[in-house]
Amino acid sequence: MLLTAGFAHASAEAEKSVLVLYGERGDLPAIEAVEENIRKVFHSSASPRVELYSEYLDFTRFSGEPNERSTLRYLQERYAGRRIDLIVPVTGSALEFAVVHHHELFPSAPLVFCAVDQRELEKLVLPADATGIIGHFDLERTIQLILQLQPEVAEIVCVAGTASFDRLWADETAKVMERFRPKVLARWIKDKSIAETVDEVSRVPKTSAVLFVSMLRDGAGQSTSSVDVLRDLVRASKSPVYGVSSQFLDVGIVGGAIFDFGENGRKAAELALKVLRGRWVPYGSPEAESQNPLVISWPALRRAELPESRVPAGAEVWFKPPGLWETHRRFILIVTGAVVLQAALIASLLAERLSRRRAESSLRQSEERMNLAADAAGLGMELWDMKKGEVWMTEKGRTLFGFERDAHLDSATITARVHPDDRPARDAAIKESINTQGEYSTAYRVVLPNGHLRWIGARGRSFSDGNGKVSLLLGVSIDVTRQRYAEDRFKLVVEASPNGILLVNEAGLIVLLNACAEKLFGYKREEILGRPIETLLPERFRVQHPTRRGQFLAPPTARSMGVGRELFALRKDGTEIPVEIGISPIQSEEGLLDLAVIVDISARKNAEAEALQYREELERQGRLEILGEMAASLAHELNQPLTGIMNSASAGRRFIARGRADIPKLDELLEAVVGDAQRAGGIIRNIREMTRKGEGVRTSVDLNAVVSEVALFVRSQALERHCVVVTEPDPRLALVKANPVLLQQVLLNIIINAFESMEKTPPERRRVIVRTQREANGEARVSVRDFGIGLPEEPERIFRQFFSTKAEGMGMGLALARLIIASHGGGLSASNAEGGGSCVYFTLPPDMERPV
Amino acid sequence: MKGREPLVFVVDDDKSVRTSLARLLESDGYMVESFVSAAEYLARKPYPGAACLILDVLLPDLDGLTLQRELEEQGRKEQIVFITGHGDIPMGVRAMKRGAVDFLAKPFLDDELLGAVSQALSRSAENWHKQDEVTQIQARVATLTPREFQVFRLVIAGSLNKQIAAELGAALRTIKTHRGRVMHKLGVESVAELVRLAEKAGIDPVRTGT
Repeated sequence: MLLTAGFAHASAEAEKSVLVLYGERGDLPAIEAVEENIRKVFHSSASPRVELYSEYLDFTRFSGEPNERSTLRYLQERYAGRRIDLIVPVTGSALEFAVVHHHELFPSAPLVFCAVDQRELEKLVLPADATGIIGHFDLERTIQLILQLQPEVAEIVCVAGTASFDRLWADETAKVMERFRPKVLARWIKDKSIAETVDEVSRVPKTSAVLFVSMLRDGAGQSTSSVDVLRDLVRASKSPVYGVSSQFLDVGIVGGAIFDFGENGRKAAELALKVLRGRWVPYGSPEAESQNPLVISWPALRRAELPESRVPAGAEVWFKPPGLWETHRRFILIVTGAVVLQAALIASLLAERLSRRRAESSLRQSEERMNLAADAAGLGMELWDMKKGEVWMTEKGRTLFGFERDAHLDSATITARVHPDDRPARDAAIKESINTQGEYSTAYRVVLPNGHLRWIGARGRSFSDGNGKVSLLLGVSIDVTRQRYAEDRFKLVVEASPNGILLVNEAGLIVLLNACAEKLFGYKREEILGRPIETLLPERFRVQHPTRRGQFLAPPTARSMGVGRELFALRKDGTEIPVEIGISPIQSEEGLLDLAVIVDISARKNAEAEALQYREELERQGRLEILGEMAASLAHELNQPLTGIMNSASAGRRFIARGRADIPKLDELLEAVVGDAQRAGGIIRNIREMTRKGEGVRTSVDLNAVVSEVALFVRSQALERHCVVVTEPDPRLALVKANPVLLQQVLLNIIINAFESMEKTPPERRRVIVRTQREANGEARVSVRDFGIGLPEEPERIFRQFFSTKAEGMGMGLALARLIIASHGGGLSASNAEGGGSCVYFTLPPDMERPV
Repeated sequence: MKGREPLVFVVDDDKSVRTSLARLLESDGYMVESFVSAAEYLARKPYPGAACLILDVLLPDLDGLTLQRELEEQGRKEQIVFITGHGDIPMGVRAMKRGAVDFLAKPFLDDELLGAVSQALSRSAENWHKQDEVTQIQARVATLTPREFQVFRLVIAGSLNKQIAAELGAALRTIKTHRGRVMHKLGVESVAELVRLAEKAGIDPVRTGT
């Protein structure tokens, strides 16, 4: 509902682009099953037609932050300029990636996830435009199944691998197994290679059971496919092997509560289509839910010599050779259908008989229509004959209340089934209906004979006979247990949320708040419920707020407040805390409500301040390091004129001592001394300029000049390291607005890195090419190419603080260089160069005030 | 050495260092030639007299240490004084091990440099002197007949006349005559002198029975 407005417009377009992000590799059977079904569903969609993109991100093998960045960059570059209307992340890792990078990657595309477990979901803060199909491995029911099939089993050998997905489910299995102690104990085979695993499983006694969890990577670090490993295990095992994924059934497991990846994929794709067509279905709703059926493989059951009689009712038996039922299914169905039809006929005749005597013909007609409609909708129906106290109830109705098919029903027997606490409300509703001869609507719990509770939603109306006296009550009932639980769950989730949650009605009054909000604002619930929302706002925001809220309520879209500006909340004690607020409008029976999620960001603010301080410190350290690098060059530069001065002066003194001094000769020597002293002074001025705290000053800078200055400056270092520095300036290069000293530092750092990377390069190949280039968009680009060892495997690492390939380096150089370039509105990157070595380059925007 | 003037060469790519060094050396009475690069120096004809090479470690083409090795391989006799702007100790150690006279960090005192130069020149002169001596000995050895040369090598191995005679299949008296002629031609009076001379000229002894 919230998001339909946005999609309505989009759905007008005939073609949509969907990007499926698989968190695993593409050749896993489970992923193949998902992929196949997603493809089928999208393929069969005529409106909209779907252009499908698939990316296999393989987070099991490519985990960690740098991989994530490079994956992100890859996707950004690959899909630059393409519109993506919807993203389908498959598995939890893909969803996590999509959620974290949503704003960097197609921020307007909603997410429809697939094969994500509830537990994985709970770790994430989903954006408002995320929905999907929850899937999970049902280990509890699988273990129960093992116990039903093998009641004597004392030990279950659990097998799992070492990938993070394997570990997640191994932990989960361990937790579930704990609940079955001490009746049955778990023994684990994990962190073993495939061969070791197979070997150990082959020695499991026949009376035990093997529960295969998952193995995407074995203990030796080898990437595997669960199905392939399982095939070997089943072959080697003497005892029955169980598992939880539909793919496992094909390779011979006995069974389990089977999660069907393919089915999950199909549902996700169907959900995605609904979203693309402009219909929003939140996750967790019945439409988006998936149930794991108990499945037994008949051949595997036989092979394990387990009696079929132990197969629990409700379990599906697969791969069974056709029996009587299968062969004659059609016939049996027809006969059963005929019997059912007959029964229905009898029932409707009975209903007619009950009603005929008193009801008007119009009523009868409406009743029949209702009967039909009720059957179709799975509703229970009942007719109360008020005079006789008799009640007739449809089959479905009897099931809802837990009555036997032929039990005699009257008002009292039905009331007896209603939970005592709910009886007064129900009675009142019905009485009201009788009094007003109108409709009633109520909900109550039914206590079933087995003690279970069932929520019933009931609606009905009373009809009068000719005398104006109510004689007939027609009611429909429906099982609303699930919705009730969903509501309970919603309340629980809201209550348990680590963020403050408020619900505000159209009048601006607070109608709900959770425990965290109580704590956040320092109010007790009863103190604040029903009070205006402005109570929680600092004085200075109050005047404008009601109007702003009005604007906000007008277009019902989700959005967040406080992005880009500081928001504060007022606590009961008068103190203010910095907050971030997300608001979603919700249409409810009570009208349009605002759901506000409030996050206390004081901790984050503090962390940000600390981070800033830290960064400043790093920058200072980095400057020191660059200075250190410069010091060596400077020492050499200064020693040259000093040598000259000493030589010349000493020569003069010696000429004098030998009596060979003439004025022109002495003058020449003194002139040389003055020249060298001036040169030394110039060098010292340079140092002062480089280290002066004048970084704030930005002028129009000619990068070609910066390049040649730095090239000159590194000359002695180049000589020492047998490197040649070649400059290739582009005369058309634009001027840039920058601090020339900082740019010198950046370039110096890059060039010295280049020198260092070529220590193992043969001296004749040690070249550094510094090239400037005018880009097509007018930006100035400077690249430094070397012929050294190239970049490490994860190129982004070199820009991280404390990364250094040098033994004595502090590893701050390139991180700092990047900061400096970024502060000038440019970007700094590195890549491996063709023909060996690497190329570090940066671009800076042209100085708009000084076009070339 | 042939009575030539000692000569000092300066190789440094920094102009002010180069010219001021030349002035300093001239003030002490040396003849100086300056070069900007190693290649330029290598292009000059080797100086056949006592020579000192003042060499900057860092040069735009070859570095000083490589030039040192190159000169050594050519058997050149100029002695090297290194100067450097960095005072890099490991590099200095390597240079000294390869026979450099000194390794001076810029800026250096005039006495340090001039002392090193004079030491270098005397070492170079000595080298020339040794070279001349060897040349003279070799000239004298060249006057020996093949038979005398054979006897010469057997004598310096310490063989007795009797053994030499047996070895060469000649009469004892004949050997005595050869021996006397060798001593005379080479201008020595004792076997000890003969052995020293052979050593200087790099002539190996030959033992009997081999």
